[in-house]
Amino acid sequence: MAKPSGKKKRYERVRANSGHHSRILVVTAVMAFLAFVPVSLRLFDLMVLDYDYYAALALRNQTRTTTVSATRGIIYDIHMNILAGSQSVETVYLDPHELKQAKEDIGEISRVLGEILDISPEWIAQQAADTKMRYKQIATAIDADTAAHIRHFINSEDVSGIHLEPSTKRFYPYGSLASQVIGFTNASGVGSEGIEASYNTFLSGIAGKVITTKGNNEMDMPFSYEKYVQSIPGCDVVLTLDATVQQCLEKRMEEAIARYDVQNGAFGIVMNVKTGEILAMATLGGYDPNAYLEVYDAKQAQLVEHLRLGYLLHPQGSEAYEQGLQKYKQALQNARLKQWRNRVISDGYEPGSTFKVLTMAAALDSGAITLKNHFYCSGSSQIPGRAQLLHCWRSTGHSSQTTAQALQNSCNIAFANIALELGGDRFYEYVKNFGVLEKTGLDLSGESKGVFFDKALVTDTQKWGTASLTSASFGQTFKLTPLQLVRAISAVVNGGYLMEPYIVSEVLDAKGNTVLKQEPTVMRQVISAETSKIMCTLMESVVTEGTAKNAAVAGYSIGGKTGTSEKIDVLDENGKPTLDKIVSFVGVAPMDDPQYIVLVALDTPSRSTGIYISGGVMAAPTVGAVMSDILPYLGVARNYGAEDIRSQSVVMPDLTGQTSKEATASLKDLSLTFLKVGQGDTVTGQIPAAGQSVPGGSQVLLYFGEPEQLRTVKVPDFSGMNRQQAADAAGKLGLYILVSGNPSVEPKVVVTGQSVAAGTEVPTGTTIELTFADLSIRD
Amino acid sequence: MAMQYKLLHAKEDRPSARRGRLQGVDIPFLVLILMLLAVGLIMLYSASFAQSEYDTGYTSSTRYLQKQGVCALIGLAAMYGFSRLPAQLWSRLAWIVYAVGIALLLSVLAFGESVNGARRWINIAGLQFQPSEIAKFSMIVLLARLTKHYGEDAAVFRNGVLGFGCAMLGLLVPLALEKHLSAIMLMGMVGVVMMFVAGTSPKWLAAGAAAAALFVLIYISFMGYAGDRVTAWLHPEQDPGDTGYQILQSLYAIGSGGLFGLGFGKSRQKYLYLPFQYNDYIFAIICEELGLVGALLIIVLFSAAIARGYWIALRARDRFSTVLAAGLVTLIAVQTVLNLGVVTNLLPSTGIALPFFSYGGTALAVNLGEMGVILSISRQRNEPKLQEELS
Repeated sequence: MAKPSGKKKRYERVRANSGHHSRILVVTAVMAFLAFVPVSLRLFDLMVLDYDYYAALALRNQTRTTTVSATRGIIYDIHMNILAGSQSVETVYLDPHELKQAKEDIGEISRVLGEILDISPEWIAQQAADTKMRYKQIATAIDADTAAHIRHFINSEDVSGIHLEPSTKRFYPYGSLASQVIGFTNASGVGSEGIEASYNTFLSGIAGKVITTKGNNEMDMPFSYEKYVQSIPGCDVVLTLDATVQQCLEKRMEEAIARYDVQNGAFGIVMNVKTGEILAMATLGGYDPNAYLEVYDAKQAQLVEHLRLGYLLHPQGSEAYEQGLQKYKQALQNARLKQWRNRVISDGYEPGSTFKVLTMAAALDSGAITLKNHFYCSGSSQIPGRAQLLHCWRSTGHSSQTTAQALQNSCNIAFANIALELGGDRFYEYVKNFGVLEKTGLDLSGESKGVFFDKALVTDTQKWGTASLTSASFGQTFKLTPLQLVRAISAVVNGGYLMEPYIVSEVLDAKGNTVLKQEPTVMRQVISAETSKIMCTLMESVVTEGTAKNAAVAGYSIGGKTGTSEKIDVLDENGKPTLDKIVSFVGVAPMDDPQYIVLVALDTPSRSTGIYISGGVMAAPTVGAVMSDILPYLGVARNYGAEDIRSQSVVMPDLTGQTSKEATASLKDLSLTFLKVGQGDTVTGQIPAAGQSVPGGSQVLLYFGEPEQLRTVKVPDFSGMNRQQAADAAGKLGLYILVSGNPSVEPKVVVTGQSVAAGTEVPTGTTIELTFADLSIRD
Repeated sequence: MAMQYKLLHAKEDRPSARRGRLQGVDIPFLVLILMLLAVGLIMLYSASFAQSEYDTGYTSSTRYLQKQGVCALIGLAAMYGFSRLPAQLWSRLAWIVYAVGIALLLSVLAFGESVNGARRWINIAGLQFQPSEIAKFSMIVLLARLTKHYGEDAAVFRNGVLGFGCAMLGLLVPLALEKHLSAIMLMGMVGVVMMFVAGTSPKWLAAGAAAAALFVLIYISFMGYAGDRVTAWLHPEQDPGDTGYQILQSLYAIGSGGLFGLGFGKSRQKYLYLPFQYNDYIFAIICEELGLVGALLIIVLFSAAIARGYWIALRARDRFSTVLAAGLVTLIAVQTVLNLGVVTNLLPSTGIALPFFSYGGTALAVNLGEMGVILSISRQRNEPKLQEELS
């Protein structure tokens, strides 16, 4: 072809493109412009019109809220002793991602950590295997020592990927003391049981938050959104409880449990009768809130362990295995619930004769009887309107009794007659006013009320007879809680006022400001002040004259009432009543101006000890011992009568260098006398040595011109000896005895406890405290 | 005549006078492509650094930027090289390129690396390589060659439908065996646009589109999983943790960008919330960081580059170059539009990357090489025709 001319070329070019020209313009319009219109509109829609919606969703998607736990408040006793506090501990966690990056030896790390923390290394290795994660918790609440151990391992081996972070753990410095009252916090730090539960909202404070954006694998972002909400620390709760009083109560109850081989625990309470403040509240057969999941009762623990080993015998997954597992779990749960239970407020029991105080107060207050009434008891009586013959506990009968004697003797026949005098309507009204039908309103969760008769059963004696009325009059066939009883009897002795009991005196915020303060609350007056005065005298006579002599404490006027009740609703395997007994005593002191009430009940003392099972024999001396511990501590003045002198100890002065005359004078002030040994002019030696306690009225040895002849003797076993026998045995060995408990010198009052165990070697002149009780007392 | 000739010549000589390093290529188009590449690399770094840190165990934030950078350099070299070759070379090589394309696709089926259950990669000397990118180029080259071959007869059914159709099927069948749905769709659409440009009657194209739509409907009704995809597309909030996760995360990113965005580098969704945040879904991160304003600016860049590309096609020296340039520009345009459509949930999810932005070395290098071909066409527009072109 010839060299193309320009015209030809242009023609060619136009030809070449002409067919495409318009089509390319169409394509350009579509592909370069129109196609982007929907996308642009869509973007405008998403990013401008729906911006708020998507921004909120995105933020929710990207943010993590970390809770900053608030410091939990402290629970104090009335003297600001810490009953429950929070302790700094540490949490161990792994960063599996970091472990992998640092190429750490997982096997070795798992082995060492497993050893230090006492957890399975296989489990730790499993946690470490999740290498996309950056936080795997492997142990919480480890103490400083264990943390130091782990730090040492990290530092010495230069391990990356193991981290520790501070946290807190609840601790209870007094261990099991008042455990059911204080309660505990569960694994997530929420109060369960007791004060920890009832006052959880105050104690817990308000957790703070850190809201921060995080990557999807929890990695931090350089440009992040953060928001802090400060946590508010929990309030402190100050109880009316006094740790010292609580310790005395629990100690004496434990002694009683051991001495009388009590099978089913015990409960007790100390309350201020004028204010309703609870000073101590104990349920024994309890637990240590520092390790609340353990089973503490030996028998229960054995049963649970037996069931655990039992189901493990079966192949996993089999029906027997599953059933056994369920049984085991159930038993474990029951055992735990039982030890956590605060029986003082949660469980009703049959009060027995202690309830007679209320019946008598009602009868006297209403004028149905006076102190001048007489009641005859022949041992059994056919009460009108009651089908069964009513037997008194003393089959020979009490013959004729005054009103006071009826209470001292705890005579059921007399009380049945008093109830008939009073009448069902008035009886029911008083019972109601004494708060038997209602909860006390104590600020502690889990309170229940007892089970009392329907009104008609007691009041409509025409229809229902008098069986319910008369049984109720001496505290049988119904239940109330220990707290209900204690509150009602407080009203009897405090001038007639039914108080609302309380256990929290104050709630303080973190700065110490009072958030809540409880004051004594009078619910109503139930009996007159005069009746109350009379009742005080009568109750004191029960201790001085009646069934509660074992509760006596030298130097204090104590009143009270014993009680023994059969647990009629507890059946043995044959469906017969087990005849298990709850023995109790409620004591009040001092009777000239009642301040404190103490109730102790022992559930099912064993027959095996051979000791007669009754409130007077078992519970009264226990309450007496509690009183002798707490009354001096609480500052109640002690007034020794002449007959109490042997129960009061004095401190032996240093008489060295004194003449016989001077020594006589010095000792006289202390109610002591001396036996002169040797021929010298001045004292050169003395037994007991200066500073030792000697019972009042004792005779001491003074050596004149020669050194004292010190020797050691073996303490004899005084148990079962009466006052005379004990004094003789001690005198022979050159020991002194300090009398406590039942002050009577009658031969039937015998030693039931001694402060120094038999067989111990002690120097002559040592004082041994002996507890006396009348083991023949019936109530 | 002579006068005219001289004038024409004088006019055509002017670009020749500019012959230097740029060889008279179309400067606006070159600048637009380089701008897209530069912005693309910067945004790739921003979108990928969190993932890079995570994948490298917090040792490097530039793993993906480095790989992409190397491929960009290779691509720029290819672009420069191709811009200097005469475009007509591809006409002569068309069948060979086409054969290579088919061979590569078949070799993937034979020796390919399986990623997520689909074989799309082959390893050459330790380098991963995606042959479908070459296949796309080979199809465009062959269709351009056929257009030239059919000349004025391109519109008749035998050529305009059967001829082009068979040429496309040669590549689409192996892709179908690879189950590379997105590539089939993309190439199908590019092919249809090229056929339209070549002169195929719109009624056939409309019929083809209807057939494709029917096929898609049947496909959806028979393939349960694709049905799930449709549900995930229309109602992503029904399963936010699984099938709807990807698109919801994308929408969170876009929507939370607002008018001006969180600021460059400050995306939060890229911290492993939005999967594929540095390849298929990079545009969502761009929206989050740069806002509507930034996103629209980037769309304008694309739009301008595409328009200028078609302008070059329009001014190309011959029919082959016109269709070739139109095809290559359409390839970029369709990918861009489909990607933006998927990211904003206008279209159901498919695996289509955003040219010059998404992470993917083969695609970037091949795309840049293709831009070189367009530049070569732009350079030729005022040059005398080669002898053989006229024959």
